[in-house]
Amino acid sequence: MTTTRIHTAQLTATLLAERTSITLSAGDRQGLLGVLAQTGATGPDLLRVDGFTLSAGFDATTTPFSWNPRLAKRTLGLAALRTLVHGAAKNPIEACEAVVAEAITRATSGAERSGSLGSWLASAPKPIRTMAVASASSYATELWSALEWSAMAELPTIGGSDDTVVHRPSGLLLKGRAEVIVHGSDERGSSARLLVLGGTPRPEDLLTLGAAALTATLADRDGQAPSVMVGWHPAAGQAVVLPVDHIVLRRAAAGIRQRVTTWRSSLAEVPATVAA
Amino acid sequence: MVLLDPTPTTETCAPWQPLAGAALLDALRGGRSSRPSVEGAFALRVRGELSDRCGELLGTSDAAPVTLDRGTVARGYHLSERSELSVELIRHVFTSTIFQLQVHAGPSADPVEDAKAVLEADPSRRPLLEYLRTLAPAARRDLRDAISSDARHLAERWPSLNPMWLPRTGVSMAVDLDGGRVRLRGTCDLMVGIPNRSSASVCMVSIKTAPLSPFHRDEARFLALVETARSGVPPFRVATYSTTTGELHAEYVTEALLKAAMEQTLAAVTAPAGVPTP
Repeated sequence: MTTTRIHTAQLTATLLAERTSITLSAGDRQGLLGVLAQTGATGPDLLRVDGFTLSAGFDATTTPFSWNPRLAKRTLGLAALRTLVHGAAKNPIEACEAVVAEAITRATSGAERSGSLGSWLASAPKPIRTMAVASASSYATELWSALEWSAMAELPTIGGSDDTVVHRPSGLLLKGRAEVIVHGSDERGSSARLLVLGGTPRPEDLLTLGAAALTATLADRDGQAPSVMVGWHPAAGQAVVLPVDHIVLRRAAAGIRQRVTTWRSSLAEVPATVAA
Repeated sequence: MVLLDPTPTTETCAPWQPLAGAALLDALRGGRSSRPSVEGAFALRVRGELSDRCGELLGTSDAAPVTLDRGTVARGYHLSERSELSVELIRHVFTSTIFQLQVHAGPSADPVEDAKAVLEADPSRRPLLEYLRTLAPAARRDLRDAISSDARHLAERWPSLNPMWLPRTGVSMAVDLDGGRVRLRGTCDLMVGIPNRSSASVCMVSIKTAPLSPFHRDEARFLALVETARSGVPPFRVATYSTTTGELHAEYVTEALLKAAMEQTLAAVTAPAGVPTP
């Protein structure tokens, strides 16, 4: 299992490079799920495991979620990037303004649930919406200018749905994301996945990328794994490249098991009441 | 071969004649219509040299990683882990926020309240707003007057930017050197220009609430260095604008400028730690 570091200028070539990808057999799948099952589920509640909880800790999800421009930039920025790449907008600001306007229209027509991004934007004061456009357009511009879109024979999937795996025996809800998925030209449906990460490359990127690869593979009906995971840090202008194989998936499962087991053990150690 | 002009060019606008509108935009752009070509390996060499020399300076020391930002490098020290809240910092944060909002939506009727609403929505700004509430009423009033003045000057003088120039605000940058023992970090208030892999095409702008000083020129040069190491291409121009005086320092980014920024950055690696300056 080897990772390499590349610079932003090498992103497109890395995503488009021909690679072999693995497919899980039924035995492989059971083996990986067996590793996850060792985390010691304690009840009916599912513990969410994704890039955020793996880096911020599982306690982080106990804080009630509320939108702000920084949290909205990914969703808005990716929607804007889709319109840019498809030629439906001339620049990122125009694209973001259109995305925000559309979300507000949907919310005011009752098509959005309470707490959704659209509902938040519809009720947000104008300066907050402006800052949401500012943050999202900066995000979209970075990603738009980082990749050579014209080099791609087929347009990639931008900001598709998260991969989801519910595994009751371990009490885990695995969620995996990818900002850009470049589909391979082979018939097996292999893909190269780009994740946008914050800050600078860190050793923890390995688990973040591995967990996203594991989730994508387990969520795939045919057990097809992504051929490569690329964790791009725009602030640093660098990316971590992780070709996916059986070892990567096993280590990701073991890494999740270790994190979850440690966290669940720490919960068990907390006394329910404090003696006087 | 790097086709950057080796001669640094600095243009300083007299504070008693603040530029506005198209004149300010022209000063930001500079007079050159062509964008200098950049050799692909240039930025890699800059980054490599920076990293190698950081390694030489730190030797086998197992000291905690050193973080450098523009404010501390320009003043000859590296960044302390402790941060200090101050009236100056609050003014800077409010004015930067007003600037960001103006870039994207034009001047506002009530920029201070707009900025406050934006900052209140950002959980990371809670300590700053709590500190603001501890200030005496007279200090708060003075601060509000100063921020209002900054906002008025920005509204009167700052040109609107064509969205086709891809203006982006609050761009974070962080570059690790020597295996993470040194981190260069910074936030650029405004970047304008379409990023290009083979030519320098981006103008980086910093907003200051104080009158400009040589420190600010060095801060802008540090950001140019970080951007070069980060993006692989040097910016075309770096500029610093004072909302108080209307001064603009703008210069072309040259090899000589980046070299000077590198030497100043390296000098700060082994210097004592200090608190950041807004």
